[in-house]
Amino acid sequence: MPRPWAENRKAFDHHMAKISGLPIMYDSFRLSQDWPSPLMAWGSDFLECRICRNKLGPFGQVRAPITSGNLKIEDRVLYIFNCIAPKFGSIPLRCCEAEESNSTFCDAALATLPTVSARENDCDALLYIYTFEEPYSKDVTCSLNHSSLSINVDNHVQEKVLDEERYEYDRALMSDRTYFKFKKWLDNYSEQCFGYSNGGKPVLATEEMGDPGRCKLCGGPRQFEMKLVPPLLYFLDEAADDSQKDALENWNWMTTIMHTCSKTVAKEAVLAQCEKSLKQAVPDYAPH
Amino acid sequence: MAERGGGDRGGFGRGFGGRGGRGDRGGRGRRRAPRQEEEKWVPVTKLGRLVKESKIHSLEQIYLHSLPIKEYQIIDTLVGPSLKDEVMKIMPVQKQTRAGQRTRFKAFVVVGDNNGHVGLGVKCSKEVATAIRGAIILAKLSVIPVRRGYWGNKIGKPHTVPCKVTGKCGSVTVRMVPAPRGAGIVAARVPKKVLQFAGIEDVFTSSRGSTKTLGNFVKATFDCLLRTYGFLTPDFWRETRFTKSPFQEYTDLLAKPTGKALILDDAERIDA
Repeated sequence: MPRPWAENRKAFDHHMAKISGLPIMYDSFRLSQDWPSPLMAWGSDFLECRICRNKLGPFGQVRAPITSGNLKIEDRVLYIFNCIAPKFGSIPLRCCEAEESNSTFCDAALATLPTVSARENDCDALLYIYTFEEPYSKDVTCSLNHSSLSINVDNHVQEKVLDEERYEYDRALMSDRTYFKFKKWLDNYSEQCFGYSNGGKPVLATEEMGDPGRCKLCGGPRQFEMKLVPPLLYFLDEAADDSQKDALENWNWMTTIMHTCSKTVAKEAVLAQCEKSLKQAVPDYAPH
Repeated sequence: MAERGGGDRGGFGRGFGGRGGRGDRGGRGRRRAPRQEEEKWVPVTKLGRLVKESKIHSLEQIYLHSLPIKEYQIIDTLVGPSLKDEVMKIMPVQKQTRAGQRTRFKAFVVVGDNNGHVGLGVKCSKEVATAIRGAIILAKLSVIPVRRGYWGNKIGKPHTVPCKVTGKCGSVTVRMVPAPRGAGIVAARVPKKVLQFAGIEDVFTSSRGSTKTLGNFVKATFDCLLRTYGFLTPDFWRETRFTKSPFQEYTDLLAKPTGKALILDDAERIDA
């Protein structure tokens, strides 16, 4: 459970997922004694933010083995980075993967290792994953429903009135159906911080999702692999002390979705869906 | 909840022969034991996180900056126990399929604190209990502030609508006209309920169109109440004193090195 993790700073086992705190804390990358074969070779432009050319700080890592089709990679870890500059720090930007045994993988440089939790300023959140299949929650119609249909169908008189009222999709002042399904999912799994499903279909927060595009290396289509959801922000916020909280300020996304190439699993694309504020809809409304 | 479903069925059975589709309404007490998961709210939006940490004290701060409210727990936390809800109507809606008719239940719920905030939710579902629960959530998400004013002398608290307003939904238009104290709510049964929840004490109303369609009728009333704050009156001519949005205040609070900050009090002044 996420709650007691703050006290349990166990040695990091590579089977766990690790979401470390705040990128501005990391001044330099350090090698971890847990990791057998550290690599420092990577292209210098790999770990730079594409927009502002600042360094990317490590955010987390997830172990993600693949066994699908002709690909079988047992030791595969996804590293997630995000831009240190506070303006763009809101969205985890890069996500690359590394394999333990094989050091070179296509031509994507391997990332360096996340820093170890030896520094006192860290806010490390070791999330103990307990995986479970997320069941699709369809409404289970209980017997109450079936027996209600036995109400007698003398509907010649009532058809006229019934015709005037129809099924209505959910609507509120500021939200639509897609958002309600997203919120319902989150309420059911309120402690889920990220979701992993290679090739699966994520629950989206807003309707339009950008196109992940095609893989730059092989031209294969990209498929969904992992998503980050808001409870992650909430737990990080709880763990951070006051001095670290301002780094979390700009983290306002509703969900961040990572796609990777289905064939060569080298390159990734990250899409973030943010909350739409009224300011965006009516730009001259907000006074400041 | 199971017994209630049974009770509803009995009600429908009786009502179907004659009037058709008239469900029960009003006065239905709902005993709901507070569930454990209500305490464990994990906020999804930024606003939700701020509310959970008690950085926002009233709904008016949210309305002032037009921040979208996307979580019903925000309303629960800010308005709290004074928010009452009531099911206006449960009606079955049917869809013709190859294997007969598929019936779903549509629930209309109004929530309000009898003091200037009211919300309306409509939810359709296969079961009555699910529809009611869903409608309550939707109603909380659409809570709006209602502006009240005076008919004549500005003595005491505002008791009626500030001006003549009209709202429309489908073919139904509802017009509300300010009334003197003691007039009471002069309206049909359906809008009267909504106006009571809004905290309006005296008003004259007039409606037009097919008011038999309860959905449109109640939505037209709600639209009318929504417009009370949209109507520009000379009280609003004074130049606005802009204040920081709660997000901005919180950012500034964090940026301050000492950690203590003056949080501007920007509660909206309801005009008297």
